[in-house]
Amino acid sequence: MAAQREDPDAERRPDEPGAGDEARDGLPASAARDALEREALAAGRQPAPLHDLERHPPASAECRRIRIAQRDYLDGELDPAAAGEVEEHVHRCRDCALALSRLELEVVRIRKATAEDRDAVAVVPADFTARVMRAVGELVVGTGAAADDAGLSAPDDFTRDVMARVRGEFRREKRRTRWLYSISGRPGHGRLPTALGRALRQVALPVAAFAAALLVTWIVTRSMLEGADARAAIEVVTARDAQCFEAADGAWRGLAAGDLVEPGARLRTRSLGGATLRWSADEDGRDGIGGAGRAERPLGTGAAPVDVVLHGGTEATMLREPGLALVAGDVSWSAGRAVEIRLRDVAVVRLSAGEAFVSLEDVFRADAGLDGVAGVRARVEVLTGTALLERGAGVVESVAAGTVAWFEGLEPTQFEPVASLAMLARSRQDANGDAGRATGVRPVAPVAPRWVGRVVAAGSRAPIAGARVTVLRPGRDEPEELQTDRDGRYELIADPSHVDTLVVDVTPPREIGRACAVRGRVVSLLGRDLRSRSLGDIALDDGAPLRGVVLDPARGLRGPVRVVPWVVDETFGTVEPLEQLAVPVVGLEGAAQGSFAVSRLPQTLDAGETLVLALVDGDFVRCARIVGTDGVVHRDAQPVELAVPLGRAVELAVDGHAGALLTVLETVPGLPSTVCALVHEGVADAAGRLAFHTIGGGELRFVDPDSDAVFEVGLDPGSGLWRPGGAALEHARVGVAQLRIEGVLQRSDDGMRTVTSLARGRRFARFGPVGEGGRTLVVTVHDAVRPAPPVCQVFARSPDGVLGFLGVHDGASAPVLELPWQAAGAGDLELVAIGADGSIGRLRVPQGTEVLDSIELRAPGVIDLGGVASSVVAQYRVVPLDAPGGVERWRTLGGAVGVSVGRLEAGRYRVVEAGVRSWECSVPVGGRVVLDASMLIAPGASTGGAPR
Amino acid sequence: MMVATSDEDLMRAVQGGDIAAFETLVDRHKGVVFGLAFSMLRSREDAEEAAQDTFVKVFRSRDRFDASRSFEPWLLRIAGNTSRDLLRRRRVDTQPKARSVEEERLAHWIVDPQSAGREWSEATRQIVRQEIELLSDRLRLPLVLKYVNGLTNQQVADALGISLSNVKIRMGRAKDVLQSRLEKLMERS
Repeated sequence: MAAQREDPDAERRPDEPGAGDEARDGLPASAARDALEREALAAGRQPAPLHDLERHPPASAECRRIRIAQRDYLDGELDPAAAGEVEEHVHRCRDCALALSRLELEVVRIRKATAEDRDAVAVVPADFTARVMRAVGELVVGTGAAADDAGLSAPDDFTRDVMARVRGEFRREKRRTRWLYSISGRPGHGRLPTALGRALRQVALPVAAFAAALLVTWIVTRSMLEGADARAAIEVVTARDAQCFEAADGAWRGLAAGDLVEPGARLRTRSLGGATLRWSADEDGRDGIGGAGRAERPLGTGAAPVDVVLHGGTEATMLREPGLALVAGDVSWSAGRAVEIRLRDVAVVRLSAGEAFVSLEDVFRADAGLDGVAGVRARVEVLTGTALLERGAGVVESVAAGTVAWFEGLEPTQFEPVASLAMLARSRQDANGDAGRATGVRPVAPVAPRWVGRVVAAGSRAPIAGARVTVLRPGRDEPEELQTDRDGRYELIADPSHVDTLVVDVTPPREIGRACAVRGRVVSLLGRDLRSRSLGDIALDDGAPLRGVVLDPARGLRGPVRVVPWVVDETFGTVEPLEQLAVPVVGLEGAAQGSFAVSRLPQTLDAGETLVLALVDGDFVRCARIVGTDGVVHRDAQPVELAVPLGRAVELAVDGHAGALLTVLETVPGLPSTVCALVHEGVADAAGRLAFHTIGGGELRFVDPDSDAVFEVGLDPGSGLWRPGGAALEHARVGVAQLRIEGVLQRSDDGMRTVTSLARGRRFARFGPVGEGGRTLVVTVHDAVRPAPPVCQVFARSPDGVLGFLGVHDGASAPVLELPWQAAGAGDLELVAIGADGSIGRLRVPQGTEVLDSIELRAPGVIDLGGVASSVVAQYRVVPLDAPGGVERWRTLGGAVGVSVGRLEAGRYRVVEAGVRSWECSVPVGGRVVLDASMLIAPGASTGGAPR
Repeated sequence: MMVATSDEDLMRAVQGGDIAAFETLVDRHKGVVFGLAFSMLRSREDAEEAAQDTFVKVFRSRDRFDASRSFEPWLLRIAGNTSRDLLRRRRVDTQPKARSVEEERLAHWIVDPQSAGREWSEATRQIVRQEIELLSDRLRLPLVLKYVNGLTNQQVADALGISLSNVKIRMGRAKDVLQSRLEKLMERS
C-alpha cells in the first residue's frame, strides 16, 4: 500500500512529450505510458482509477484543444470537420480517449436519469393550441362572438381567466394605438392600415421621444412633480411594490407590470420600489409623473455616438441620466457622451465606441456579458454576485462582487475595489428606487477595507495560484466566486456589519486536481481582529503524504498494526473506515515506536465531517486522532502522534444482577461513541460484580440485560468500583461490536416506527408509519457455497417495482424483517439480499406468504480479459444472456485501467469489445473466468449462440 | 409539392392580420415552449400557464417582431422570460429538498456503477436524477434544457437569455458538480 502511486503524473518526465507526440525511443507516447503503467501493475501498484483523469492535464496544446472540444463533440455541437478532428485525435491519443469515455459516461448517466422527464416534457396538453387561439382570437376582436366566427369554440372555465386578462390587454392595446396615432399627426382619424401605422410610428416615435426628453428634463429639473397633472400614457414595465394614485377614483392601487395608467389622469406615486415606468408625451405635449422613481425616456443624441443595446436581462438604469431606465430587448440608442449604466439581473451590453461605465448588481441568476469591440473603454463594477464578462471569442473574465474592472477594447486593464461602502449603500438604495433618482455618483476614495485569504499547498505552504474560491456570506443566496492570484491570495470586500462566518469552498486549478478540493470550510470571523484583514490560509493537498509516529512504550500492541483513516460524519451518524487507504506501521516490531505515512487522504470533507487516523491492532481499534475537520485536512510540520493507551483492570458492580450475563462496551478514544473498541462480557458474581481488563482510554458503557438500555459507567468515589450511572444514552439498542451488524426494530406508541441498525460502524435509521396492512416476514440467508453467508442487506421489491430496505442480516440469526410499506396491490414480492462482498440472492415471495425459507446468496464472479484485452483502452459491453432484458454493463478497460469485470452474478455472458470482437462464457458462482481465443465468437453470431 | 412556410413568413402574415398563420406557429412550436416551461417550472399546471402566456405575449408583441430576423430565438427568449417570472413567484415552493437520511443511505450503497446489477441500475438512475434536481437552477436548467428538452446550446442560450459560452460553462460546471457528488458517494460506498 505504501508503494501505491499517488499520481501517475509523478512518473511522467517533465520533458516527456504530449500524448499525441512521439516519445523518446521512437515509441508513441501512449505506448510509452502503457509500458510505464504495466510496469506499475507488475510491481503491484494500484492503477489509477478512471476519475483520476482530472489529474492528468492535457499533455500538449493539441490535447488541450481537443479536451475542450470533447463535450461539444459528444453533444453534437461540432461541425463535421471539427468532429472529425476530435475522432482522429482520440484514435491516436489514449489520454484523450480516456477523457472522452469519461465524459461520455457523464452524458449516458444524465440521459438515462432523465429518460422519464423527456417523456414528460414531450406531452403537450391536447387542447393547447385551441386554448391559445381562443385567447388570441379574443385579443384581436374583443368579443367571444367574433371568436366563434373565427371557428373557435366558446371559452371553457380555464379560458375565462385567460380571457379576462386578454380583454384588459386588448383595451390597453387600443389605448396605445390611439395614442400612437395621435402623436403621428393623425389624431382622431380612426384606424389606419397596419403598415402605414407602423411606418408612422417609426417616424413619429423618435420625434415624440425627443420632445419627451426635452419635456421630462424640464419637468425633472423642476424638482418633484408630485401633484402635477399627469397627462401621459404611462406603462408600467416592471414593478415591485409600486403604487400610484389616480384622481379618477381617488384610491391608491398597486401597479403591476403591463399596467397602463390612463392618459390625463392626475397621478401621484407613493412608492415605486423597483418599478420602471415608461411614458411618452400625449397630444398636449405634457407629461410627467409624481414622486421618485425611475422611468424611461429616450436619450439625447449627438456626435460620436455610443450605441448601447441591451440583450436579455430585465432592468437597467442609466446613472448619468437621472431617471432613465433601460428595458432589456427594447432599447437601442445613441449617446454623444460617456454613459454610465447599471444593470440588474442578466444583461449583455454591446458597446460600439466611446466610453461606458457599467455596474452590475444582483447578478444572481446569471452571468452578464460585456461584448465589446476595439476602442471601447468600459468600467465594470459588480456590486453583488459575480459577473462573468465575455470579451468575445469565448474568453470569459470573472469579476467578483466589490470589484471594478476597466476594459480597454477587449482586454481588462485594471482592477480596483469599489470605492466605499457608502457608495455601495447608495447604489443599493438607488436600485430599490426609494431613495430618490439614480444620481450618477461615481466612486471616489476612500478605498473600502478588504479581507484577504490565501490558498497554499498543505505540505510546502507554497501559494496556489488560479484556485477558484467560492465564498458564501450569511444572508446572501448567491456565492461570490473569486480566483487566487499568483500569491495565492483572494480578497473580499469587508462587510463586518452582519457577518460572523463565511463558508469558503476552494477548487484547485486543474493541474493540481479536483480530489483535493476543499468544500464548505467555515471561516469564523468572531473574535478575529479584522483590522489585520486576514482570513487565514486554506491548505490544499499537494500530494505529500501525512506522516506520523506510533508510540507504544508498554509494548502492548499485538499486531498486525495498521493505521486506517476514518471519516466520521456526525450529521448522518456514520463512521466509515477507509480501508483502501490503510497503511502498516513500520519499525514497531520489538520497538516502542514506529512510523507510518498515509497518502491520498480525502480533502473533500463536507461540513460536519471529521477525518481521523485510527490505530488498529489486529481486530481492535486502539486510539484515533483527528487530522481533518471543517472541510480541510490539517497538516502541521509535526508528525501525527498516535499513543497507545494503557489498559487497566476494572471491577464493575451492578446491584441486583448477581449471576447475570453482563455486557460492557468500551469505546475508542477519538471516535464517536457508536464505535466499540471491545466488548467485555462475563457472568457477574454473587455480589453483582464483574472484573475485566480494558484496552484503555475509551469510555465504558453498560448494557442493561433487562432493558437493553445503555448507561455510562462511572467511578464510585466511595467504593472505588465502577458503577453504571446516569441516564440511559439511547432508547435503541446499539450494536454490540464494532464489526458486527444488528438491525433493531422498534415501535413507538404513536404508531411510528424506528429501525436502527449499526452496520460496520455505520448507523442508519428509517422512520415510517406502521401500516395495518404491513406484513411480517421471517427470512434467513444462506450461502450457496460457503458455510456462512456474509453480512448482507435485504431489500424488497413491491409488485409495482418500488425498492425498499428491509434490514441487515448478519448471517447468523434470523431477524424478523418487516416490510417498510403496506403491501401495495396484488402480486408477488421479490426479496433481494446483497452481501458486502457483492454476492447476491433473490427470493420470490408469493402473495400471502407469511414465513419464508432461506435466500440463497451466490458469491459474485469475475471475467478476466487479461489474455485478450486490447493493448489500448477500449470499451467492453458485458451482456447477460441468461436474463433477457437484463441490464448490460459496460466498462472501459485496458492498460492501467484494469482488465477484469467483477461482481457478476453467475450465468452466461457475452463480452463485446467496441463492436469488433465478442466472446461468450459462463461465470460460475464465486468463480473467475479467463477469456481466451476459444471463447471468441464470429461477428454477427446470434446472441444465444454457443461459444466457439 | 407543398413547401413549408417559414416561421418568419408566418409572422409577417400574423402582422398582416392572418390569425390562422398564428395557429400554425402555435402548433409548430407548442412542444418546445411547453417543454421549456415544464423543465423550468417542474409543474404541468404552471407550464401550461407559462406556455399560454408565452404565445399570448408573442401575439401581443407581434408588431415588434423584426421579420428579417429568426423567429425561434425571439420565441424562446419570451418563453424563457415568462417561465422565469413565474418561477420567481413560485420560488418558495420549488426549492429542491435536502437529501433525506434514507436517500443518503441508499445512495451510499447503490451508486457504484461497477457493482450495478439489474436492480441497482434503477436506483443509480434515480440517484443521478435526484442529484440533478438538487442542482441550483443556474446549473440545472442548461443541463435539463439540453438533455431533456433536446435544445441545442444556442437554443438554450436564447431561452435563458445568456451567451452561448455561458451555456457551455454552466453545463460543464453542472456536469463537474454531478460527477464530483457521485464520486463522493461512490467513495463512501
